[in-house]
Amino acid sequence: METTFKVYRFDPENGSKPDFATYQVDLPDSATVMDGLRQIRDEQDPSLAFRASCERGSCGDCALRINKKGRLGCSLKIAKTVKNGVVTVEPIRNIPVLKDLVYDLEGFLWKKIKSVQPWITPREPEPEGEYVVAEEQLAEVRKAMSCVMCGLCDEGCAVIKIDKDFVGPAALTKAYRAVFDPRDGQHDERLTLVSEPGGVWDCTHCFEANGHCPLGLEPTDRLFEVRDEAIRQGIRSGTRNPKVQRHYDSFLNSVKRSGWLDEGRLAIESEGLTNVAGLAKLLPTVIRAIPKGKAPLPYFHHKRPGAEAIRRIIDKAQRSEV
Amino acid sequence: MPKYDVLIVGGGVAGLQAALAAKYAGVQVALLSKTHPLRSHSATSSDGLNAAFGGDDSWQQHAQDTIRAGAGLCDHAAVEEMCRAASDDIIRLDHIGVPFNRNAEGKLDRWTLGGHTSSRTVFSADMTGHAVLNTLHEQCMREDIPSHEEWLATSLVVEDGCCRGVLALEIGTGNLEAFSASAVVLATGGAGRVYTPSTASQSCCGDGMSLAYRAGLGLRDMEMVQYHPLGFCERAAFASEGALGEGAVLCNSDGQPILQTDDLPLRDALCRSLASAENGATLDFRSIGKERIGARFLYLERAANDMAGVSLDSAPLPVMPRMHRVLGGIQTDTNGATAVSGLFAAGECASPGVHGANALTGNALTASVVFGRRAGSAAAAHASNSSPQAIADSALPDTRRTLEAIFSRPTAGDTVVTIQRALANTMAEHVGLVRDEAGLQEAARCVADLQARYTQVGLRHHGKMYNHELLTFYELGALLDVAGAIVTAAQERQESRGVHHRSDFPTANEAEEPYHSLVTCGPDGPSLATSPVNAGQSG
Ligand SMILES: Cc1cc2nc3c(=O)[nH]c(=O)nc-3n(C[C@H](O)[C@H](O)[C@H](O)COP(=O)(O)OP(=O)(O)OC[C@H]3O[C@@H](n4cnc5c(N)ncnc54)[C@H](O)[C@@H]3O)c2cc1C
Ligand code: SF4
Ligand code: FES
Repeated sequence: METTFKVYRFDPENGSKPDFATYQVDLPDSATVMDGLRQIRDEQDPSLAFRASCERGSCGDCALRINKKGRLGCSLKIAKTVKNGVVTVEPIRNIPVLKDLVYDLEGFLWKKIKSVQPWITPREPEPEGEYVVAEEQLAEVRKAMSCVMCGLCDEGCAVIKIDKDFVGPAALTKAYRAVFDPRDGQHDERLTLVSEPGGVWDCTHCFEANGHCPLGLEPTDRLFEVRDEAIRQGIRSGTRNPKVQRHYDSFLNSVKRSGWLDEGRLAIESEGLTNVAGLAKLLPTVIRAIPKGKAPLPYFHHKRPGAEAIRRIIDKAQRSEV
Repeated sequence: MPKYDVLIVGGGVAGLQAALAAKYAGVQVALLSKTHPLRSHSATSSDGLNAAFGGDDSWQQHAQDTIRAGAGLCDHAAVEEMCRAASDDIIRLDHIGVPFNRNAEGKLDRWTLGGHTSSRTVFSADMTGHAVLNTLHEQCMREDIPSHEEWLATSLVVEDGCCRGVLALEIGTGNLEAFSASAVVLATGGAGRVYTPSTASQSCCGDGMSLAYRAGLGLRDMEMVQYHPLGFCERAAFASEGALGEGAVLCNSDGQPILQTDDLPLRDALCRSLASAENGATLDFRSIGKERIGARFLYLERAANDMAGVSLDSAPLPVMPRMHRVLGGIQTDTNGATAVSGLFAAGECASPGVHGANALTGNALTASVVFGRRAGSAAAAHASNSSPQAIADSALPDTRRTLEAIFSRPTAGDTVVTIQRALANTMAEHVGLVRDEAGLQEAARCVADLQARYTQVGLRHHGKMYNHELLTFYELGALLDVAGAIVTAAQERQESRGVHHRSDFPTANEAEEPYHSLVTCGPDGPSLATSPVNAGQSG
């Protein structure tokens, strides 16, 4: 199959600007995008740089943006992605590029993985033999651990794009592995850690990570499960972001009180009634919102019909949680 | 110059085990690896780990099975050491978080694999290597072990018979650096890329074997090259042999079963019968059912879909034998110690003598876990009794000059890639599952010829950053050393034993005591010696 490869090229050594180069490759129908890149490097241009190790979707080394979608180059057949005879290959987004298709994962991924302290500390008392654990408890841990650390969920993440400090879905999937491992003795410490700023509460529920994981590991859902577990354990915020707990309390109290969310009050209560600096930061938003009719004045929050029924539902739910 | 008590070269399962053991022993340890540790070939290991966990099994029984498979070439003391220690090491892995599959009682579930007389292979779906690697990497993060990633060790520094450290090239920048250490552990993995097709990752180039060989050490039992029966037809991927234990059926092209699953043969017998099957073979999972496939074959289900276009619950997967690994390696004792003081080796690059002429499925990862730990501890003990010596100032400039000389070679038609392909094809054609004198002679001639071309070959790309051609140049040097050792040992062994099958000598030579082959680097190329097999009990 004849295919045109449009490949992102950038070589800081020769001082040139990033650009795309075009190559023709001819490979069997079973060939992968990685086979194409290798043919280019081996037979046409030995200066092309890209990473690849296992060549079978086990190691995550070859994450690339192929025809505008994050993929593992070694596991994607050209025939499955080619559009009008062309395959475009770029580094993943939102990450410093070192050379051509090689990028720097240190700050983007590895540091963040380490920051959630995803190692198991054996729960006391340590048994003499293996821990006796139900298979169902380990099955999901095992699945989360099959993550190949490709970083593609992070490259798709809507928050990381604008906030590099968000630890992101890959690190939080790694946290999931530790949080739900029944053999771990640092359960609550880790939950507090991932509830700090930059952790689980910075997710905006865009669900992009789920769509980007080539293994179908549903990193967004795992992040939610970590958060739900933190709430179950009474850990509603880290030690450094009490705002999360205030937001949570205000949200709940509002819906309990009026049957729906009092957004004005939520904003104020989340910042904290005594937090003058935080409250002052809200002002420009309010001022901008007024002419657009998004902040009706005078502000008045009505109780909605059926509020009592909603309160009873919440009460019941809270009782059943206890 | 970075200075450590212990430097571990290689970040796979053996290297990470060694690093942790050295750290626990209280010395300053660092990792140096040419890929990020999580990109190591260990991540693809799918079959599991072996140990006897009581009941009707015992470590002695595991040892007996291992020795039987090894066809007379196992070092008994090493086998006993591994089989005795394996259960504790596996329990430790369980405690630090490897998600091993559980049985109905919540205890370690086990597969029965070919050549084992008992169910003793614990597994984490078909991603055991991946799970162990990730778990060990977590613990290395916890211990804050410094890790030099994307650094290629290019030579060992050996002075007065003692290893002083390594010289290494930073792949991202092209910088050369000397790493001084009181003890070095080579854990650089296998050499699968010396063949094509193989199941090897890109990094499996026998680097550590070659480093040791060039430092004067012997490579043992290199002619023992194992094939994996369940390779994909077009990809390096393979199905776990656990599939056969789970009830997947191996069939010929007419869909007729070619194997009784209650009596699984050793890999080599299976490979030879598959290789002779006309029109190929398939592995049929359909009787296992979608749910169980999903639970037990996390990796294969996805890989079969992505890379073979097969949905396991609805169609059989075409399979074929692929070269899997060299069972031999750097000769070590059961502490990973080599004949060079301060130099240790463990994992697939090493030969402590447990595999002999044929390895039981699961014993390779087990050996990496057990002997990786032991090598790390022994290296730490060695380092505690000595202090790192500075590496001679001349070492780096010498290597720099060599590198410049390579860059200044003219670039004619030959490239490192063409030489590497020719080498891998030669090895597959003449030194494969079945060998004979004529083929081996041809292979020896080809390897010598490729060696000669290698000394002349120039590089087309002269950049410093991520210069893959330069990386391949180094890797090819190692592959040629390994190929030379394999061919030399295979020519000398005029018998069939274990995985070494000679059509011109179809049986084992029972008239002589079994012996190990030992290839060293002589002035005129590989030089062969033999050594007796230690078949005695350990103390
Ligand atoms: C940049 C960004 C910021 C985000 N910020 C927030 C945020 O601040 N808070 C948040 O919860 N999610 C936020 N989200 C997440 C996201 O919008 C929601 O999690 C998700 O889409 C909502 O799912 P849903 O099905 O509950 O809501 P939707 O499908 O949107 O349905 C919302 C429901 O709530 C009802 N509703 C609307 N207003 C009120 C009210 N005042 N009180 C009670 N009910 C009401 C609507 O009638 C509707 O039934 C954000 C997402 C992004 C990308
Ligand atoms: S969760 Fe999926 S996308 Fe994210 S790093 Fe892991 S394998 Fe890659
Ligand atoms: S090279 Fe390992 S996943 Fe692609």
